[in-house]
Amino acid sequence: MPDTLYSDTIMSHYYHPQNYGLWPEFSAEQRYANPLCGDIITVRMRFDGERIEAVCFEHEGCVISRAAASLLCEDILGKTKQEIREIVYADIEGLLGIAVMPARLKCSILALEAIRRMV
Amino acid sequence: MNHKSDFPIFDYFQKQGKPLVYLDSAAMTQMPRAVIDAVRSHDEEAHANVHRGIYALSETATAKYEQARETVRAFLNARSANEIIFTRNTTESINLVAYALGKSMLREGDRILISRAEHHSNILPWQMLAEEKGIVLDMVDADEQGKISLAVIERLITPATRLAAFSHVSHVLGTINPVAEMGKLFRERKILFLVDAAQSVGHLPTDVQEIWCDFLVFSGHKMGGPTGIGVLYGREELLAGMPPFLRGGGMIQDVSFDHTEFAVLPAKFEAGTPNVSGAVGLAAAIEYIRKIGFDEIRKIDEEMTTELFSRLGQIKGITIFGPHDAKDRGGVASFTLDGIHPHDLATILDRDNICIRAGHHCAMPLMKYLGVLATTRTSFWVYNTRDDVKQLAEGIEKSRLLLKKKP
Ligand SMILES: Cc1ncc(COP(=O)(O)O)c(C=O)c1O
Repeated sequence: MPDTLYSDTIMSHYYHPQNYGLWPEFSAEQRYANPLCGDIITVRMRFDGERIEAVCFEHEGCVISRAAASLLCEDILGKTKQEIREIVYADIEGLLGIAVMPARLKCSILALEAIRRMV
Repeated sequence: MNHKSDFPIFDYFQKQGKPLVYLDSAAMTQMPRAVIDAVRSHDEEAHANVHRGIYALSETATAKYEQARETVRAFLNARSANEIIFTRNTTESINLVAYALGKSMLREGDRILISRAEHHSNILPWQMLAEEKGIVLDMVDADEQGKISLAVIERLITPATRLAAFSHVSHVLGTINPVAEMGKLFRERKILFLVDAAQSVGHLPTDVQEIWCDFLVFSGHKMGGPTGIGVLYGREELLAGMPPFLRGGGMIQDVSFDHTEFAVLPAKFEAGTPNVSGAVGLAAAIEYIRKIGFDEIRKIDEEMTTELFSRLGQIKGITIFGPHDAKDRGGVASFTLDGIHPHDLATILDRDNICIRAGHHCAMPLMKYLGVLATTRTSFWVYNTRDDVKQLAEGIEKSRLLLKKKP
C-alpha cells in the first residue's frame, strides 16, 4: 500500500531535490528557520523584471520541508512576483499531493515563507 | 510493579484499540487517578475564592490551598511554608526571581553563571537582565558526556558573580548535576543559587536544605500534577527583601492612592486569584509520589534507560547524547539517527500512538554546541515499561524501512 505522507513523489523530491545547491549570482537571498524544530533553508532568486528567472536552495531538515521546497521552486519558475504573493498554504498541499497534518504544517511551508520574504 | 493502571489515560487508549506508548513525560507527565479525583472533588465540594470570603466554603478552600502549601514545604524540606510561592510553572518562577532580583540586589557589572544546557526558561530571564541592567552572563559548558564539572564552574567564577542558575537534571542530555556540591561551592562564595528542578522533583528526592540552594523552581505538570501550577521555593530572608513581581489583589496590607504596603510572605508574591484546584492537585501528586516512593521511581528510570541503551545501541547510525551510565542520568535521553530527521521519526512513530518529542527542546544554545539542528527525545515516568522501549525500537526500524532510499 502506498504511504499517504511519505509518497513516491515526496520521497523522490527528498532524495533528488530540484534546483538544489546555491549559485553565486542572485538578486535576492533569504535564510529562514522553523522556530519549532530548527529546520533551516536558504533560498536564492534571480529576477527578470517582475518574473522569476531562476531559483535555488539549500536545506537542512526533514523529508516534508525538503520535498515541499523542491516542488515549490520548480513551480514558481517563470511566474511573476504578484503570482507568488498569491500562493497560499493550500497550494503547497496541492504540490505535495497530500493533506498536511497540523503538526507538520510548519515543515511544509518553510520554503514558501523564505520566498515570500523576497517578492 | 506496573503502575500503568493508576493512570486512566492508558486504559482509555487500550479500549480504543490504540494502546498509548507515552515517552514524553519530560514535557508533561500523565496524571494518576488520585490527582484527577482530588481536583474533581475540590471542584465539586470546595470551589470558592481563597483568603476573601467570610463564609465557610471560602474557609474550606483556603484551608485546602494552605494545606497544599504545607505539603509542598514538607516535600522539599523547606523551613517554613512562607518559602513556598505558587506560580503557574517553572518559567514564571524563574521570571519572578529575575525580575525581583533585577529590581533589588543586582547591579550593572554583576555576573550570572548558567550552563549552555539550560532550558530557554533558565536563559531568557537572565538575558533580559543582561540587556536591561548591564548584567553579564557567563556560560558553563558540559563535557562530552554532558557532565558539568565543579572545576569548570570554579574557573568561571569571578568576584562579581552574584547568582548561579543550573538545572538539577538536564531536559536534553539527561545528566544529573551535582547540585549539593554546587550549592556548597556557591554558598562558600556568597553566590545565590537557583536550581531548576523541573526534570528532577518527580524523579529524585529534593531537599532544599541539603542542596543549600536559595531558590528552587518546578512545574506541577512534570510530576503527575495538573497544568497551570508551579512552585518557587525561596529562602525566607531573601524573599522578604525582594519586591513583588505582579501587583493587584491578594498581596497587600494597606492601599491608598499614593502608597501601598505589601502583604507578608507568601501572599506578597501571589497577586490575583491563584490556581486553587491546581495546588490541591499538586499536593495529591506529591502524595502519589510518596506512595510509590523515590526508590521505586529511581529503579524504573534506571531500568528504562538501560533498556533504551541496549535496544538503541543495536541500531545503526544512532548517536545518544549525555552520560553513558544510567546511574548518572534522570529519566530523559536524546538521540539522533543518521539519515532520518527527528520530525519524520516522530510522525511515523505517532502512527502507532508512540509519543516522543522531536526538535530543539527549547535549548537552542545546546543544539548549536552539539552541532545538531534537532534531536529525538524520549523521557520516562513511573508508568513506563520495558515493552514501551521495545515498541520504540521497533518503530525506529519501521521508519528506517519506510524512508529507505528507493533505487
Ligand atoms: C529543565 C526545564 N526547565 C524549565 C522548563 C519550563 O517549564 P514550564 O514550561 O513548565 O515553565 C522545562 C520544561 O520543559 C524544563 O525541562
